[in-house]
Amino acid sequence: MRKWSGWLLVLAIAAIVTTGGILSQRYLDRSAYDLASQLERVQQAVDHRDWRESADSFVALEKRWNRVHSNWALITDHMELDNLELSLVRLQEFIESRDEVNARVEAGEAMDMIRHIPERERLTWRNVF
Amino acid sequence: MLYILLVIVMRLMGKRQIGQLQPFELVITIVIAELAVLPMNNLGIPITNGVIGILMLMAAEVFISLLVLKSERVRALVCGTPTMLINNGRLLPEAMQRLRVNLNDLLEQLRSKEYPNVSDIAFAVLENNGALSVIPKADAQPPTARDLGRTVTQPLFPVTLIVDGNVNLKNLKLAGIGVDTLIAQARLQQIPDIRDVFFAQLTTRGQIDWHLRGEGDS
Repeated sequence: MRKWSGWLLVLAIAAIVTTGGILSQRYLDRSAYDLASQLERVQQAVDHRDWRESADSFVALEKRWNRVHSNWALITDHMELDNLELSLVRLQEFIESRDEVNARVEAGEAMDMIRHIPERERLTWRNVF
Repeated sequence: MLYILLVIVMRLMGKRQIGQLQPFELVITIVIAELAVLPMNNLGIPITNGVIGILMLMAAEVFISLLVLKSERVRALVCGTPTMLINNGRLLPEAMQRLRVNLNDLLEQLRSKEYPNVSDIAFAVLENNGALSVIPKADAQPPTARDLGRTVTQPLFPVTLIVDGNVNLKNLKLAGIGVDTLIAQARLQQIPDIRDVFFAQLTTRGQIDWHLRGEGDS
């Protein structure tokens, strides 16, 4: 057993890191898709100037964001998360003040950030080099 | 947390000192240190990034060292091969040029090994870890007991028996000495209480060497 301990250590680390990497990427993809779908609802409500629906959809978005935020912090750059958080705060303010143009711009920016985070962590040639 | 991980990783990576590292081990040690610093220095980087990098490098190091252990070819490729710089008292300038070792460096290393004359050296080999191994000519070597035809007793493994008044029972068992025997030996040395002993060692000659507390202080 001791003879194989080195090989077993290498295999165990490789297996843990690979599995952990696949699972965390799946989680990022799933939760980002979930957030993006909810943000789309906010965008649609803003497009229709339905401010009540916008505010309700935003509350649901905020709940989902609070759920994933701490998990995302374990695997992704905290600066990206801070930027997204600030963007959501601004979006909330624009919805409350019924500022359609700025709310649209901010929602678009937040959407881009949400989609960018899982892409940034993905194992691709572009990210490696 | 990163500090504890680093201690564990370095422990798992082996016992060699920095100066004795092979090139691939040195590279991995430097990169691991750099990876550990990143999350400490930049709070925006999650600690998992550092941890995963360190674990993967440790796995790479263990993997390469296992390959090096199993295959002579991989060993030559990864660690390189030792190069002879002096052969039978003659300097090998081509090898020195290839390794970018100048004559002053070589002479300095020879002097530090107490060989001032190149002609006294049969072989000098630059090892993979950068150390110079010197084999002197037979007539330049200090005489050994075998050369003098003397019979000598083989040394025993030295075992530490007492440290700071505490008897190491594991070592005592290893040395084949019972606690009663140890106490009796201490009494023979006029030591009534073993707790007064700062250090006791079974020497290579098979005798117990006693050092009492405060013995050398005065």
